[in-house]
Amino acid sequence: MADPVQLSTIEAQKENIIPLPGGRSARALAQSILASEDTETQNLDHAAAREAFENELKTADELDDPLDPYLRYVKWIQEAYTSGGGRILERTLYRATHKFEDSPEFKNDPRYLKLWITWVQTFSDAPRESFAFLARKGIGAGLALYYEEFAAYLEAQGRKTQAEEIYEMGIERNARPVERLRRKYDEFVARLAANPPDANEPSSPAVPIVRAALGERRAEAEPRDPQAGASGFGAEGQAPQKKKNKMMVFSDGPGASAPVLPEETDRGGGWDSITTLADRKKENVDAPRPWAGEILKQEGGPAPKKEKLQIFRDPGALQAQSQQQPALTASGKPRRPERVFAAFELVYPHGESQDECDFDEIRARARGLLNVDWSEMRREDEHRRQRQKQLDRDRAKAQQEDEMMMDMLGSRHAVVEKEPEVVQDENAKFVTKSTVVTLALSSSPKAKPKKLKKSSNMQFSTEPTMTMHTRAANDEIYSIFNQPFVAQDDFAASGKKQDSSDEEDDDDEDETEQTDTMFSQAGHSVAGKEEEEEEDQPDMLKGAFTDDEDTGFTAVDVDMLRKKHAEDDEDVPTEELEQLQIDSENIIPEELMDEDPHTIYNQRGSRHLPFMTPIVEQTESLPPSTIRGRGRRKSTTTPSKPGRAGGDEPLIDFRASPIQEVSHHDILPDKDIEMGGMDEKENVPEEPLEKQKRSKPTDTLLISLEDLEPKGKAKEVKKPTNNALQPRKQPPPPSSKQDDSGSAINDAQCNPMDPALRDVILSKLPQPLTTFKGFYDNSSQPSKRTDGIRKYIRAITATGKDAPKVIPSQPVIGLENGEISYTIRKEIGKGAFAPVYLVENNMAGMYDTADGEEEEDAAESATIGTSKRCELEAIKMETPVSTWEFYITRLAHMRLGVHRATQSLVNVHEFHLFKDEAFLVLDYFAQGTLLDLVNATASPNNAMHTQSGTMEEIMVMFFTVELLRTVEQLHEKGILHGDLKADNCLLRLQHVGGNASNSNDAEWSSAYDPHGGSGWDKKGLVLIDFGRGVDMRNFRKDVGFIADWKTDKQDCPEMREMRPWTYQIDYYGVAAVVHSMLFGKYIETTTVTGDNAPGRPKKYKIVSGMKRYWQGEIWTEMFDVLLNPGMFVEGEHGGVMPITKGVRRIRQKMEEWIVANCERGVGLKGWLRKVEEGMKKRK
Amino acid sequence: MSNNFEVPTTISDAISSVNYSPVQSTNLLVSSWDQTLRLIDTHAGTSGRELLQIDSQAPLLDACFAGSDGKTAVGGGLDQAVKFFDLSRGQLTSTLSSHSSAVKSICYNSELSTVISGSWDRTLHLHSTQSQSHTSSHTLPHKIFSLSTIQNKLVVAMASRSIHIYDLRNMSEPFQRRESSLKFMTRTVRCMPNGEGYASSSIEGRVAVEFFDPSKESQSRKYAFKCHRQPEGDVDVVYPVNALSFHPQYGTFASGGGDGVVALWDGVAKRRLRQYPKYPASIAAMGFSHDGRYLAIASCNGFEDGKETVSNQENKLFIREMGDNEAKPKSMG
Repeated sequence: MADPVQLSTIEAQKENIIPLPGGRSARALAQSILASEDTETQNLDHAAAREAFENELKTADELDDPLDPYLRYVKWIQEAYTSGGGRILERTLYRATHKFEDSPEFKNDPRYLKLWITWVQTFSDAPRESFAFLARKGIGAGLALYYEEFAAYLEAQGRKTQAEEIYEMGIERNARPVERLRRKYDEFVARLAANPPDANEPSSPAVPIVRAALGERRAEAEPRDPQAGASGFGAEGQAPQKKKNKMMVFSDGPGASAPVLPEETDRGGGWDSITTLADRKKENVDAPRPWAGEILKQEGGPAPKKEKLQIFRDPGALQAQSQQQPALTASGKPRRPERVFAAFELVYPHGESQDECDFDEIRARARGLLNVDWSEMRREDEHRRQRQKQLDRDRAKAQQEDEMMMDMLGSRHAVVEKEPEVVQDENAKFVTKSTVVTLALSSSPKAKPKKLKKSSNMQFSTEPTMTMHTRAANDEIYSIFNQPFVAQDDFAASGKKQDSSDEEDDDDEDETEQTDTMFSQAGHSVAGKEEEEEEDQPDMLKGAFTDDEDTGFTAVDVDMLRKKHAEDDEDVPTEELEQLQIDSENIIPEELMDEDPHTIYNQRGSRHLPFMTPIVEQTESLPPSTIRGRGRRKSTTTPSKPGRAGGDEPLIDFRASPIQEVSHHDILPDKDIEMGGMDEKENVPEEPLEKQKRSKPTDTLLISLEDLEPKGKAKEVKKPTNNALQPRKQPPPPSSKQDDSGSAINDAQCNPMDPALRDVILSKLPQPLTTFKGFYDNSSQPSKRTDGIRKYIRAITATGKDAPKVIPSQPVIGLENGEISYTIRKEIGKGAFAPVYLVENNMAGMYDTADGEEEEDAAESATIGTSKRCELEAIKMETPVSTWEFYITRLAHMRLGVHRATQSLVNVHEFHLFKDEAFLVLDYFAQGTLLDLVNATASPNNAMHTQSGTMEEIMVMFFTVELLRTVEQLHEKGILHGDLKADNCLLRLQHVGGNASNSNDAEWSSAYDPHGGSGWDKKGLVLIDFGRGVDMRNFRKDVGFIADWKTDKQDCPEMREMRPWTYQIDYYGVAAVVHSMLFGKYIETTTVTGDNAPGRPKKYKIVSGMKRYWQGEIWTEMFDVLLNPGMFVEGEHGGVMPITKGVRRIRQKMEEWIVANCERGVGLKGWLRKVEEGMKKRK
Repeated sequence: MSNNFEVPTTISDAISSVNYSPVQSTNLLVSSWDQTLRLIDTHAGTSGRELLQIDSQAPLLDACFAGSDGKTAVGGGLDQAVKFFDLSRGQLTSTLSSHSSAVKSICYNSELSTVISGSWDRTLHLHSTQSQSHTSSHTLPHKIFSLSTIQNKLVVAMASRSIHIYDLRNMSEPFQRRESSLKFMTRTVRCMPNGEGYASSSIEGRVAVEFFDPSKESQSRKYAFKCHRQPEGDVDVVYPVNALSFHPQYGTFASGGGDGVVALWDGVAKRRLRQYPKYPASIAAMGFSHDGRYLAIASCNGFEDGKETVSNQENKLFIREMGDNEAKPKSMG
């Protein structure tokens, strides 16, 4: 041992000495440290030594032990470089280990394993993987060292379970020296016992099980959906197979040495080699490139555009979603998602592949206008236009005739009075006459008839011309005529005079019918166009004539009408008359002086019939039910009258002496019946009397009288007690026999709306309800149509997300085996029990075919209530069923007859009774209700809005007059409406003049005519909803009603105070309607203070105050009367309600005022036109 | 700035078209769903009044003046007929032809005195106004939604985003067949007054401007832009662009959307010139007067959502008086 090592030298450098597992030689250390002081020489030395080693390595393959030079080289490096060999050592170790990794002879060579372990411990960036790699290669598999080192490493990493596994694996494999391994394992177990493994340790095997082949793996991962793939992540941390867009395959640069792929085909062992981290990461390192052309990315710049990851969507779910809400649609560059505000499911009803639907189409479909057969309508249109041309021609003709007639009328008007009783004969004669005329017509060329007619008109009438027109045309002509046709009577008379020799047997309808046919034929030849009609005509006529009910009614009607003349409006103001006379050029026969002028206006000669009978055809405006049919019926029956039942005499008397107001009190029952059928209806209101049965009703009545009278008397005993409750002065019970005779109900107090009570009334009808025209009794079968209709209505009215995707098709109500059918359009009135629907009358075409004449015939063939049918009608659906409304509406129509007020009653066309529901077919008025008008006026957005927010006074007064007139008449005829309110008053602003399409209203004078002239009869109201109607004639004269329903401010005070009431209900109703029009709010009343002393009846007034400029006097009086009708009974007939006279007085005052003021400012006509326009086709 | 006022009308249903007379700049022809054709003097009195009202049989979907004297008009609607109206006499004179489905669009070409009607029955009908007769019919592949004509070109916008351009002198073949640049249903198409191209709008809040010239250079000028949208949370609610109208002099155009907004665009500079305050309801139709002084705007409840708005119906007609430079493109100074 030469010079000992100077420890001080080592000491000074000890921080730089890397410890070696086997320790270092102090000498070598000292030498190298000393040498390092002279860096240059040391470097040279090292370089020389390394070169020597390298050279040795180059030939190492030729050595017996090729590992040896590596071992020595490594050893030298470790010694020479005290501070660690760094790159040199790493590279050497790498070369050494990797050179022999596949050489089986070194697999269990501890020296080789040590090299590996040195490399793993010093340089491996993932020791565990490296150990696993060794295990896979089988290096050190039989050496305890490998297991000890691997386990130690794992233990140090906290993977004790895995360490234990490694130990066990080693022991199992008997790795040598197994004894030492066991000892180490025991020590490990001891440590493990002291420090048990954490539960969170990874439990995967220490040496991962290698998948058999990646290829198979890929096959497994066939479903390319990424989420499923996520579960198959490789244990090696292999990245999931992301779908990357065109990832460039990395390839080494040309300079780099291509990694040598091992040639072994067995690649089941996992990696073929394990290399340095840098080597494995080389794909991630950018190869150095020249800077030229490179772009430096700025930080904070816009994010690179990336294709968005598509969100997976279930196509089915998507569809469902789009049905619920407006579709979410991503557009090209979805910076923000867009939602298209459109109903995609409607726009694309067949999916996107097919043609989409325009919004207009959707709208049309929703309204049910899409699949309408317009061509049909167009044809009609065409037809109409042709007719229009013809009409123009005819109009000229008519005008001439008109003039002619004027002349004649002037000269003949005196005749009538003298010979009224010969009317019948006249009639017949005229029939013949006109036949002759028309025949003549038919044979003459088109142009000639005019002339010819003209001349014939000198003697006869204008009648024949009528035959060739549509109703519209007719009306047109009528309006041109616009003058009382009363004159026809004169004609009749005069005609008779002239042709008295021509008397014919007037016995029958056949005669008339024949005439009809001839007329129409004449019409054809003149018109020259409407050949088809000929076929239809006979049918229509037949229909008109064969119906028993029809004719039955006729008789009644005739009588009724006659009587009406005398009865109506006894106190027509003189000015009215004057005006009339002017209109008719002073030709009004005295007989008719007292008639309601309206009646006069509306008298038009029926084309079928000799005009003599004064009441005949009606213009369009009258609720046609009665009128239209009536003229016809009358015409057919009148001639036959004398032969039957001897009813003629009184009739003629009646006519001869214009009896004013033949009220029921004065007429004996049987006369009553024969006279008018008006009063007899107290008991048999609907009785479709046939003339053959004329005497029959009398019997019935008499029987019922006998039946009822004692009962009535018996009841009367009770009366005083009831009367005691009434503060109002009760008139003494009329003693007249007749008064009680009509009443079906003899209770002094009752609830008139009581269903049971109504049943009694209905059951006592002499003619069962089922025989009424238009009554369809299917009460045995259920209808079950409600649900379908409701569903549809819900569907079309639903908003928001409730709205169904598809609007169901419009329900069609087919009735009577499809003979009648209606298509529901929409709901126009809501009501829990009785919704009202707007319907299309699918049979409208049947009544109203393209040909004008048939139209007329159809109209005439119809009976009461089923006269003019329109395309649009209303159906009121009643559940639970009630026949009352049908009955009372019809009754009201019959009672009022042709009075002008009839126009103000809604028409009931049909009634379909089922077990579970009932359909009431009504006229439809599109202009809405008074309430709508009030609301429209109040709404600032509406064109009708006025500054005050309420209706113009003159307009209010106009409607009030209409209302009063109607109520007046109803009351006079013993009918209560019972439910008067603004929403039960429909506006009836019809076209004046025949041409409905062109409403220039030239014929509508701006000067108000209270009697309905100059077109004013076309403007007014229509009362609907008679469901609470009461026929007072079913009750005793002194009856008092008690309401059993909950009352509110809209009910009359009597009702609210539980006092009995009768007509008050309607008076108060009128007051309420007027109030809402005037003030735009519901009526509120209060008692007049200081006037309600005990014992005195309370007096009511309205709370709201009048505007100064209003006609306060009139209004106050009106409210006074209407709210306190009981105080104004004086002067009324019998001193009891109804206070018809009082009401009429007020109405006349109003009329006067309107007449005086109607042309001021905008004028009443102007206001009404505004309303007409504003409410037109309102949705 | 412009003056905007409402013309009180009696129109009781949705308005389908508004067209100013080619002669009087205050006479406006309005067709509407309430089955009437109206002629309105928009400047009579203080706020205009209706001159004429002609009832039709069914809702009218379109109408326009037929002739350059402003005395005749044609209209079509659900009743499938193309009707000829004499405005001086205030009545329907004749039915030019009948389609087998509703007439959706109608236009008049003044150079050839031709009325062209397009229907959902996929046919175009051409009529001569001189003889008031139907001259020819042409079947197209899809339902016709909108027509516009200028000079001798006819642009037909159809369902399935199909657009055909015809040369009216040779109707045997379409001059060009195109697909709309927009993604959804085409609402309206209108030709530029200079005859170079047309603008089309769709239900998804976009307007496309395209050019007739088939050269690549011209075609590269076409573009589309977004409009009529309202942010609602994270989502842009886009509204159908129901109406387009070109300013007859400046070539700028107005667009009206389901959101009730009217915007004025400069198609050359690709800029929005103005956006007017919102109208009460969806813009259904628009039209500039022939001198460009007035813009008539019909604001009605639309049917975009497939629902009939029962309450609160808005059927209003507004007139916007254009200021001197209001519709002038910026580029023109």
